[in-house]
Amino acid sequence: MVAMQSVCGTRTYVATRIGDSLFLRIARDRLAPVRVHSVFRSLINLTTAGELIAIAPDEAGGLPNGILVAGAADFRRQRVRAGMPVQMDNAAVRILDAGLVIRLDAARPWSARIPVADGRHWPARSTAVHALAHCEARRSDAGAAMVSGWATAGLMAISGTRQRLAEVSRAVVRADRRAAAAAARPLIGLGPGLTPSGDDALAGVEAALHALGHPAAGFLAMALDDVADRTTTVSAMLLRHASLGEFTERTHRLLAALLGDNDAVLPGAIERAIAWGATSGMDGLIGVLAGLDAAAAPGRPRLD
Amino acid sequence: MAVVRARVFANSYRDSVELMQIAATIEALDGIDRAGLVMATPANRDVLAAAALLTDAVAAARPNDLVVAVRAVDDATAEAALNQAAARLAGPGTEGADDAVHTDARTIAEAVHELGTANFALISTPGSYATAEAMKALKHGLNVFLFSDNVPLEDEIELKAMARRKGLLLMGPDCGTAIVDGVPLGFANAVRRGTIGLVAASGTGLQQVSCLIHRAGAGISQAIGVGGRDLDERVGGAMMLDGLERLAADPGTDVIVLISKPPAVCVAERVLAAAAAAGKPVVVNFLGGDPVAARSVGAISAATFEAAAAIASALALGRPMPAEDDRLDPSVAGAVAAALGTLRSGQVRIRGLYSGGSLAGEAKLILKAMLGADRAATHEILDLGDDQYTVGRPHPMIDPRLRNEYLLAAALEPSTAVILLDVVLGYGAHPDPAGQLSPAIQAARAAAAGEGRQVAVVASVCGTDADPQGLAAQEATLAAAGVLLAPSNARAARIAAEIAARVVGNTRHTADAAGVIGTPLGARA
Repeated sequence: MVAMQSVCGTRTYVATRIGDSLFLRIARDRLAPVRVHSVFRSLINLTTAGELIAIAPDEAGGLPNGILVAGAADFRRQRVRAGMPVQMDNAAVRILDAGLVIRLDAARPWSARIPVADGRHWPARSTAVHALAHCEARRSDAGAAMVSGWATAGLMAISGTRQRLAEVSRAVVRADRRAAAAAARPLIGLGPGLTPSGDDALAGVEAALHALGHPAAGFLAMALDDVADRTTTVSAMLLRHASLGEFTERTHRLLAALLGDNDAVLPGAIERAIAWGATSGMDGLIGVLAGLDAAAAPGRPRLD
Repeated sequence: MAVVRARVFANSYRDSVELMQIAATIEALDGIDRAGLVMATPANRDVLAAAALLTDAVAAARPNDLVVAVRAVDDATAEAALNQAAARLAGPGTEGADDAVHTDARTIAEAVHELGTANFALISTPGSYATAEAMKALKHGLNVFLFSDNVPLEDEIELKAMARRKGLLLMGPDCGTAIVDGVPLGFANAVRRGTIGLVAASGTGLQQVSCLIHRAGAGISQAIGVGGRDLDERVGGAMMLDGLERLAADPGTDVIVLISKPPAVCVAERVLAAAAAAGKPVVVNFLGGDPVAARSVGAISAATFEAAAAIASALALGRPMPAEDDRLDPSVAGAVAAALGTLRSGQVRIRGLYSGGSLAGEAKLILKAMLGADRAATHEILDLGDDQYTVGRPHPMIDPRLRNEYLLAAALEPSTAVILLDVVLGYGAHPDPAGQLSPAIQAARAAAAGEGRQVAVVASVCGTDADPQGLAAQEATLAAAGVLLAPSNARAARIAAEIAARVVGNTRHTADAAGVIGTPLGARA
């Protein structure tokens, strides 16, 4: 199906899915004035009242506070620029300065809440998954970058981060949310990338804990009081959503693969996870594995 | 005296891939000692300070500001680097000139659109997606290297028929290695360029032949992998025929080598007919195949990978054809005798623990030829790269742990006399396989010694001096661990067979049709 049409110089996209909390707010016309915050090849961030709304092609997968549109898109080629005003109601998003319209009437709500899964298979496969991740990382750009300068490398190339992440893990093992938050603070905003590596890893830890229904899940909320001053706006949103258990559909799929019972899907899932972004995929996976291992560690307080 | 300079780009939002590319470019410039390109969060400012890259402007920057900081040999170099970063950041993003190589396209159609002149796709997705991606690539006029496995046979037949119609190559599925126009793909080795063209339905077979050609002083024009099922009756040798035609027409190729397990009879006829029409010398290395059929069409039959490499190298270099020499290398005779002297009664079996499937296959054939089918069947040659061992695990050429476990178990088995190994180097393989294997070998031998036994360990290294791991260094590591080294897999297998035969002292005479794989041991006892 061709979802993109060009009509009288206006490019029209059709939205397919909208994050469910955003869906409700749009339906109720409760959005403050909106402007374009930043534009990437396959992503537009809109800003409204201190939060970001992401617009991306459907193939990017569901995003918290995101609007997905059908068809491939290169937003930079469509004259969308940061700061442009945006009209937004329950029928459409209109960036008229760029001749861009996104119709919302056919979109379905999508829940960013990560489903709780059974973690009983994890201890038996943890070693194999770490090995797979290690091997895949060696083949990836991000892995290669780890052996060059820290400016191009991911989280683990920065001195001391392994110990800091280990401190988060130890606090998680004790289900000590306050200690986990304190250990997480130095990682916030740390490392290369628009979402700094430390943030990606912490979001990964939260994804693991929420996916397992672990009592330490949500610990990050206690570390986010001044997050706007400590990391980028994009990353602050990532961390806020993570603390609430809201993640991208890519993360949902990764956790489903890691916690499922089908070993055959693991290599592909890890490959896709690491391939995301420059270092974000690898950093996020490091966090997810740390979170799963900590949650499965002996001594973990049981819920039942 | 080094200088530190930095520039702040307020509220700059570029995706991480772009940032990493720019940072890598700046770091690689002459005269730049250190570079940082990060968002100016407090944590990153601390890191910059620790790296002595913090300036006043950076200290005052905000988390949504992008900072580029460099330490350079002088002001001019620093400014030039910052200007280059600024130019990249001011551009339209990842649509710059470098995109011809570094595209962030997420579909084949996007990549074709962005690159413009692309004619080749490497596909490595889970098997269930591979067919669709390969089909898309072919439809866009791209030759395909299909690394993915678990592609159904019916899909392979369809893809190869489509490739033939379009005049394109489809290498694979499950194609582990190739060298195209000097570019190594998959698990390939670093070999000299030259005039010998290979077409192989065997991954480690191609690697072994190409490495031995390199070591003989000759080189490779093209090495085309076709996937292990290409010579199946239903696939019909579609890509071996295609590869053969291409090499026959390639002015850079003087000698052609075909490598495979024995094809289906009707496929063999077709391939040999094409070889006869190639107009160039063709060496046919169908492991365990009938040498008479190859010779009848004027091709040259080679029974082992080593023989194929030796014959092709001689042809390419204008040297005399090698003698069919499968005698035990005199330099290892002493070591073999020493190994025999340490074996106890009951230690009679060879246990081959292979990472390369084709190398394991070659070893089995050599044992069969030297010991006879019945005796050979009492030994065990495992291909640990086979699907049954790799579910949920990396291939043993990447991750040595599984083989190390088998190594210990083999040493502890009282009947084990010889452990036979391959060590595969090259791109994609483990960065130090011998370094991983040696402690395991020593531990295994110590465990056997603890039970009063010595075990002989025989190995060959498939690699070259130009491989990232270095052939000499890898062999030295293994030798230091007491491994009896052979220059090829065929020779390693012969050493193992020799030990096994002498342990029992009752060899059988088998008449191999080619007389090349293994001379009956009794003939020279």
